[in-house]
Amino acid sequence: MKTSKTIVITAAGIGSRLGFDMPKCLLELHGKPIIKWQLEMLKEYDDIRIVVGYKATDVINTVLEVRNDITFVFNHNYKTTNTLNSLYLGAKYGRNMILSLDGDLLVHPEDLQKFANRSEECIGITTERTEEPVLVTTSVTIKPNTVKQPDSQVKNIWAENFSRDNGNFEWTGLVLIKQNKIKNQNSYIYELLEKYLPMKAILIRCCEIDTHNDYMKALKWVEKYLVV
Amino acid sequence: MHFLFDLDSTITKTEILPFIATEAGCDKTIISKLDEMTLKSMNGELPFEVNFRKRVNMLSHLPIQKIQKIVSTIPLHKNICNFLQKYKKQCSIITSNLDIWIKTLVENLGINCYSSKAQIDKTYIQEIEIIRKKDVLKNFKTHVIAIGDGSNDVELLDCALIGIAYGGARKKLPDSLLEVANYAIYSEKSLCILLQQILNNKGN
Repeated sequence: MKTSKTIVITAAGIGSRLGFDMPKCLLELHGKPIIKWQLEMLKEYDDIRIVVGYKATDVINTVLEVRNDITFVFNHNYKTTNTLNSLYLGAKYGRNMILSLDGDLLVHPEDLQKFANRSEECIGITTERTEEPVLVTTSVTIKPNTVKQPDSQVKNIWAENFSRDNGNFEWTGLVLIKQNKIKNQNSYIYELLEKYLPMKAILIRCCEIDTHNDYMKALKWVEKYLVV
Repeated sequence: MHFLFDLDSTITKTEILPFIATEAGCDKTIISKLDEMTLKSMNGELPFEVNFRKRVNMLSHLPIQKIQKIVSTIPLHKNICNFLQKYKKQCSIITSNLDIWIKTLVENLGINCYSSKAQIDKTYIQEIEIIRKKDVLKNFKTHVIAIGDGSNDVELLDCALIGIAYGGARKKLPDSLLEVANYAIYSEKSLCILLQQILNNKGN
């Protein structure tokens, strides 16, 4: 078991754009809801919080089918608060480092493992495009890897700016951040993160579902990366 | 900061009244009736107080000392008991169960306890006074964290600073409890992780 981080999965809101009357984390792909795909990838973590609100008991009962050691955090005001409020509630009384992901995001298992294993703060970015993106403008720094291997290089990508209109990548919602930086200011998570830029940015293979087209794409994505 | 723990199915692994009936060798029909009434009572399908009085009556023919002995042998949630032992002064039990029945168990745990009260003659119960858990909060000037699983815990969890619905023994928790809780937890290990974190970092 990995005991250094608290994982917060935010799943309180209504996934209304799809016309699916359930929290989006319960959307089934190849017979398994997204939340179960996610938990399969997080088997090694002992402190997982799922923030629930809309149809909370449906989420809880689904999760209990596969794991009983999850901590469910209620955001009873999910209708009037933003995602940051859910993250705040989930991270409260958490460990020093918080890994936060949206309950409707499917991440490639290898990428999620690598991301979760990191020790410094960072955000996950992607080249994929969704309908209402939070875009990221990045910069790159290159430095030699080690004295012993001067030929190999480490390329670091840095998130410099968030925007609704322009940027070269899209933010996935994935973030690794210190617990004490998560303040409740009733805004979106990216607006809180703006204060801490530049942050290291990690390229992630992932899949988000907002529309029917996304759903069809997601089925293929799951088949390619997740179905064994 | 003070932690208030429900007793039945929170500290103990099962409900105490059906356990008493089973261990005392009561008639099978009484055991299953008690089981059913307890479950309905916890789920809030029957009003708690009237139901509790009926359940107490079903066991009131048993000598008190015998009941005390039985209750002291009930299986407990180990991790939760470790937490109680470690932070004795910051923990109390809060239970609708009768002081006179749980006396030995509570003494063994060595924890402060708020409970319903029974008046007795030498061997049997005469009258009972059922605790209103919410009223106990008046005794605390500090923040209270309440942990419980039944419909009789709803007010308490609602009024405490942090309310934790704990489904360690029964996965199905009453909707009214989830409606007021800040957390729902179904494993004692995870519950203890959270309690420890609340103690350590006090939020921000």
